[in-house]
Amino acid sequence: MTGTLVILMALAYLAFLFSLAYVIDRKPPGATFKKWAVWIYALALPVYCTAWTFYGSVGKAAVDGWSFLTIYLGPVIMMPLLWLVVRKIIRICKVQNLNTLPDFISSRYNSVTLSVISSVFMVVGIIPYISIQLKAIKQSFEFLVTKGEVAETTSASLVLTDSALYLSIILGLFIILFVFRSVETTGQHRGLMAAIAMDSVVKLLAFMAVGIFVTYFLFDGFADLFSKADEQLLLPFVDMTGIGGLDWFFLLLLSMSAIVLLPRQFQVMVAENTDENHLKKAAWVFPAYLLLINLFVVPVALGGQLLLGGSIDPDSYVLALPLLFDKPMLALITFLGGFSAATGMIIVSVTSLSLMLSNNVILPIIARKGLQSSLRSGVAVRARQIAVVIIMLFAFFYYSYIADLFPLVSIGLISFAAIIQFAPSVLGALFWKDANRQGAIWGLVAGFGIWFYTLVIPTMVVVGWLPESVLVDGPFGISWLNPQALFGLQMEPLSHGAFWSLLFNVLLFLAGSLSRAQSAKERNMAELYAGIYNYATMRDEKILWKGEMVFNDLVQVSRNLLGEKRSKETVSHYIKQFGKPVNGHGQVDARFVNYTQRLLSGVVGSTSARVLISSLAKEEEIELKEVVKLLKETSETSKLNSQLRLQSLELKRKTEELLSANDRLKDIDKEKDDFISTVTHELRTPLTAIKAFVEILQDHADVSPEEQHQFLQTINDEIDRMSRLIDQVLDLEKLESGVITMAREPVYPVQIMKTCLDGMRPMLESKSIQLVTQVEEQLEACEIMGDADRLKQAFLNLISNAAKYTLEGQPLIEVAIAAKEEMLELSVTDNGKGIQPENQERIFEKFFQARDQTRKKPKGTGLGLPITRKIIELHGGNISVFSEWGNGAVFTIRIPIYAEVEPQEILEKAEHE
Amino acid sequence: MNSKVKTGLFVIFLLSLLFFNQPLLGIASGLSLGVPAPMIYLGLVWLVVIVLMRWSFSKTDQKKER
Repeated sequence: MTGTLVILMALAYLAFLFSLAYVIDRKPPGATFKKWAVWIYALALPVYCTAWTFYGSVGKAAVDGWSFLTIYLGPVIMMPLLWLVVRKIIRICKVQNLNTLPDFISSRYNSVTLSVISSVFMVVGIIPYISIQLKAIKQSFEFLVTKGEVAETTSASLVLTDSALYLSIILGLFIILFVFRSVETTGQHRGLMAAIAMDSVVKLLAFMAVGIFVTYFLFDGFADLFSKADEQLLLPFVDMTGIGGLDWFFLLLLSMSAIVLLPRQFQVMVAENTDENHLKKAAWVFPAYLLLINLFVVPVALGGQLLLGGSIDPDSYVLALPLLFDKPMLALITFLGGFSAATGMIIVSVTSLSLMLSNNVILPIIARKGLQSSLRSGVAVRARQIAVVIIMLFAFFYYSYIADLFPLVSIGLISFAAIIQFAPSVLGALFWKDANRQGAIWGLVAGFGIWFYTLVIPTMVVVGWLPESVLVDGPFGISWLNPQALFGLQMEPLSHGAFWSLLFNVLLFLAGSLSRAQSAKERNMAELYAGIYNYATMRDEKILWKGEMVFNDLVQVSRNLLGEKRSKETVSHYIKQFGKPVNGHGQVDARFVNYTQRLLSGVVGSTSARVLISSLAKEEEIELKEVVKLLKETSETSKLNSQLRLQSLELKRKTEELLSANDRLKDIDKEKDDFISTVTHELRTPLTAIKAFVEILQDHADVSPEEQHQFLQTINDEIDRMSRLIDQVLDLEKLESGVITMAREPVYPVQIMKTCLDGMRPMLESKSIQLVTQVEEQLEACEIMGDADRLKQAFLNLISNAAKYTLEGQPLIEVAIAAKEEMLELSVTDNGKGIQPENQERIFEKFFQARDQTRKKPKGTGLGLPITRKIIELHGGNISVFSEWGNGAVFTIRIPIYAEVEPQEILEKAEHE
Repeated sequence: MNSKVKTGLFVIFLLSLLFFNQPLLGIASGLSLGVPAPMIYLGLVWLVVIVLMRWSFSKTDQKKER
């Protein structure tokens, strides 16, 4: 494969990324972008997976087995804490307009010194990491072009012919021209985020393509691959007892802190976050991504060992396998995957580090030197661009002289050990209100000092800058000062360095914080950070500031950095919200100072903004009692807010209840109207008939005595019907309103049913209705608590209903009584037409048959079944109907049996007798 | 998000820390179904963490919708 083709492909890929970012940045964020924003955020987090993942993991797996995985297990373990820790950091950064970790730390501890040293430490700690990305790209490029023949001779390359130099220049230009076009830094870079998310997809697909090729094309699946490896090769992958312990634990710890504190992770996870809820998706998408990208690491490592043996550097297996097994296109795709992994990391890291350098080191120097009038937006942008050049240069030289001599992973882990030094200060800022500036400075300086001594000095020995005796006998022959066995402690070098640096860091952080009282300003910020959720909506007035500052001076600085238009907008926005910020002497109030400082932080970082404000004002010392007063006010406001929120929720609940009660009342009102209308209708029908017969009798004296008798009988029947209707209406009303109290005495439902049947028998016989009863005699003793008269009424209703609707010609009614579980089940079956499914529940409604226009004239009042149901419900039972249209109907009553006598006992007793 | 879910997240954190460290890590050794048992063990625990995270947050989203 020619070098030109590879370069063209890499440039085309970069051009694609640039265009994607450019297009997305140019358009205002539409609905589609907002919909995808959560996925872009979740897929930007894998910027964590760099060239180290792509090439180094396989190399590490081939040499050490599973230990490569710790770098990914750490972030997986951290994911549940995203919502508890990272969300708080995001909230603080949004409220305070912060966008880098040194800004976050220095703002909390109110210290410019801290800002400078943490920025410098961060740059020093991360430059080795950037350098290994350059190394990976260069090595993979040369491997691809030469098929691995010169991969081991890269150190001899001249600087000017080194492809890594040109790559550094291209990426540096991209950041200068594309990322740092605008002066404001807290505005999210949508295009950059989209490009990084695309990078993540490309590198995942590329790595999986190689994994599938090795596992399923060079071998016949996982089982085949592992079966071909001999015991010695398999041992690191099948035996976990040898690994773990302290080294494993420290690697997990380093990666757990790295996932949040690495500059690129902080940039993507915190500074570029547009919605805290995006963390919820990221919390499972990111571990899923890590699982997928690691799925084939071991197969590729083992495949490389089996097929290539020791002839190739294990870091190059990913590229070597497709290339040497005649799959040049796949090799090219793999190269692009590794290229995207490295470029993504470089772009985001350099962006973040250059912001730190410019905002926390270069601009504060300009501001402190009294050059604030010359500090314009152009200067801020230029400072960042200079910082980009400085970082890329350092990274390139580190790569040229040091990184080339070490495996990718070991250099990367040195950076991880540097990053964890920020963990105590950050956790202290979030959760420990007494942590102070002195503790943070002591801890950081001690941690970085020991990190440098135990982890960087040994690399200098390897490079040849220091004599080997330093690592053998210790410096100046003092063995307990040996950088790799400090105080005689023997551990694996990385764990050793991480242990000592972290130990001293934490101890001095605690000692420094406890040995000196906080300043009032520090206390103010400590309260703001720890209780950020209480301050999110009232930030500017909750930061104390005392001093004198002329309005015009402050506005002038704001105009210089934000521009004329933006500055005017912000001032008018402030006036609209809070009123005029100036007193009679032209001095601004504290809230406006904090408001402007926050805006300036978005342009020049919090440190520079603080330095600028201090240089313009005659600041006065804040007293602790003022902070205490503020805290009290905040606490009261917070309590009040909380009470108001509770009251508002209660009010909402009551309103909902009232609305629901109102709906119920409306329903009842409608029901009542329907009921009155139906009853009136039901009464009018017999009245009309009575009136007609009375008129006939009055007007026609010639009516025969037989006819008179018949008419009078009809009048009597209709009066009976009206009377029955009125009785039943009154009955139902009393049952529903609870006026009638049910007797609660032991009764025997079987005997009641028998009495009812005996009473009905003459009527049934007169209609030739056949009555079949299936009553288990032993249930006669079955006792329930209830009202015998009411139960009789209910049973009679059911039997007379069945009689009305039996089949004409062969009328049949079956009555069955049985005990099931703890219920007595009484069913009345007829063989009539049955009830249509849609009406089976409605027949229990009042006057249903009267309202049902599909039926012929009703045969009863339409209140029998509702009354029956009410009676049964008052006995703690229920009634149901089962019917198949055309095949009769079964009405079943279930009543709980008197608890003292179990149905099973009744049955057993009866059987025994 | 209520304190129950926050406690749940903290418990997932502690459990994953426990399961990804010794001595539990040592449970899986040898080959199982033709692949190294540690591979199956690590993959399963990893998957469980993903599912639990998804479940925890979907639960809070549902409550929010309600």
